[in-house]
Amino acid sequence: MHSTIKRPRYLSYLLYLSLILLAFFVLAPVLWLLLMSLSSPTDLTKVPLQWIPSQWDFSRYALLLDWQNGSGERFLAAMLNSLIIATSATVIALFAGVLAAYAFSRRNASMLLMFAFLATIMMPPITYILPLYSAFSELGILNTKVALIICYCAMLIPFAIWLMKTNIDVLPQEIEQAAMIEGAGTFYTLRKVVLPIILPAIGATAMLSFLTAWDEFFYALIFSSDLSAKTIPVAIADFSAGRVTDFGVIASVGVLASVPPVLIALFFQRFIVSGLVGGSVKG
Amino acid sequence: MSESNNSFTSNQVSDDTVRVASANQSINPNNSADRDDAILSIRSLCKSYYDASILQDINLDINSGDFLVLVGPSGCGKSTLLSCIGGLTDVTSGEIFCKGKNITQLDPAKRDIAMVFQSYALFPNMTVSQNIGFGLEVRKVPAAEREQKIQQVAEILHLQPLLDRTPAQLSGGQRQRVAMGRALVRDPTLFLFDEPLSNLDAKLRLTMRTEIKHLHQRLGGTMVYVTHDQVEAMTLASKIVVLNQGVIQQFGTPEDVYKRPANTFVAEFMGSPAMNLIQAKVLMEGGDVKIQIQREDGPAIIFTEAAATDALRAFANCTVIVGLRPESISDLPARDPQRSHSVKCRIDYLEGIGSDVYATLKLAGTDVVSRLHGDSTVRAGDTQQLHFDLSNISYFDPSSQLRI
Repeated sequence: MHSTIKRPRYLSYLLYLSLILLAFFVLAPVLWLLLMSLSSPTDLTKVPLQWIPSQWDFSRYALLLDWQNGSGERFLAAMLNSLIIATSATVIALFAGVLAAYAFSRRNASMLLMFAFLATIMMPPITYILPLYSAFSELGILNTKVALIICYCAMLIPFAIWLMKTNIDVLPQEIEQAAMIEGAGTFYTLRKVVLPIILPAIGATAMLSFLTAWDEFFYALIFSSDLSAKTIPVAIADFSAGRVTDFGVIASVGVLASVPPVLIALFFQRFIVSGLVGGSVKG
Repeated sequence: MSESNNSFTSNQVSDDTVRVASANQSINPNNSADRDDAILSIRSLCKSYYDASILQDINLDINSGDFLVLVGPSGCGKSTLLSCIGGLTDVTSGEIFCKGKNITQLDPAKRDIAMVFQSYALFPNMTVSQNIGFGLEVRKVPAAEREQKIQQVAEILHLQPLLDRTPAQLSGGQRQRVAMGRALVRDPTLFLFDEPLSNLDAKLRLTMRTEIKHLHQRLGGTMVYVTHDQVEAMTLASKIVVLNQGVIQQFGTPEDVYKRPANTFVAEFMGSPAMNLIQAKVLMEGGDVKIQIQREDGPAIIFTEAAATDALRAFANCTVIVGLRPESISDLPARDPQRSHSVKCRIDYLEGIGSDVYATLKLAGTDVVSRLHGDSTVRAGDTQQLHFDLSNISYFDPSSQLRI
């Protein structure tokens, strides 16, 4: 698209320069991670640094994607745990979040309650660690996926409610009133009218929630101790804590660990289309 | 209202406007027989938000097949009243009956009403046909029957080619028709319209107005229609409620409201240009009642009120407000020469609208609009013979602003 505003040439240069800088700033670490994962250990430890690998080394990926191998098992189990935990927490948080947001937005649920929910995520996680640890230990669910799912739900639900509420608030109320006059109950209206309209917001919230749960490190570190519950961020930390640190392996884990979030972002991309409400009210 | 009714109302001049206005409309709250006959009855309904009173003591009855129009200026509470009938707004006190059943606390879904919103409120995620069929789907009407009814309604509203489109792909007028289709398809007891034409352009508004009128004549539903446009109210209504500041000013047929406004507010609100309200003095000469209107640019106009009521006689030697519509002051002779008064007046300025010419003159210190024939050749500053048609003259009490 051509801009209709005539812009002085030097401003255009400045604009592109800023863009290049920004792109470099964002992409350079990712590129370096990718290069590291494909370089041989000798290239990585050479002084001065060998930026472009002398030979491409895919062996680490083969290693990590092999269940039979020790590192592979650790990595794949953590991936699986992360997937299960992040997905469960996201689904539960969205389900509860949408219903609660509707109550706050349309059924005059107390705002005090909502701010109380939000206040819980303002506190640093470390304040919760001790009471949670004793509670989980009491329940016998330390070092299980359930414990982490509970933690992440507590983190995600207030956040999901908040995001969904702002999105429901801006919906024209007449649409729901029309559905109710047509004879629909609250759940029918929610399912057939409200949910399809706020699908983009749900998509965005799902993506953000999933990423938050996927990247969470602190709770996972404290509440998991072996392969049955360890998540990817903890696994990465483990890989770097060995006696011999292979930066290439860590880089490869990093690359592979970012694949699911990227895929999910691409998947939800199609829901996050604007203008879905177009045409419902006025002209 | 007949003359006899006029005298009846005049006895209660000090009573509230609601009763006066609708003395011939039987809104006696104690008469339960009325409630059973009426499709919709509203009894002393009040609505307030905190300290602000939005609706005060609303009483009205409408029968099957009525087209009730709620009209009034912005913020007069007409949409709130409609919303109360629809169950979207809780009432503060009072009761609403539908077919004799108290629905005041009933869920909107169970009221058997349909509503067309000002903003149309279509479901953006559904096609036109899904939008129209929504109410039937909720009620679990079998797909085949549903399809058939949707087709019927689509035919009535000329929506057949659009059934598979989504609201975003429709023009304003088409969306408006879909909203009407959604209401029509279920055949409810009551249709509610909340300013349905206000978002359309002037030409489409006229077309849709005619279409709604035709639909009502053809399908014979009972409708409650909110508008701020008094022309829309006059053309569509079988009964009109004029609201101002939450109080019913008048409830009656369009003819009642136009010819016999209950107070000066209704007189000025209905009709365009508005009714002229002129200060005058009531004189008694023998048994005759004479009305005297002062002018700066000539001798006072004095005419005999042949049909003076006792109430008017009571204002002898006092000031009243005379209400005359622009069409009652014309260069053409009045239909009934017995109730006509001719006088020469100086025209201050003119506004031609093609079919008519509105000429403004000054009587008793106020600008008075008269309606001349479109071919009139009079020019500003000229003196013109004008005929005052007194057959639809109104008198108002200057202190209470109520009709005498």
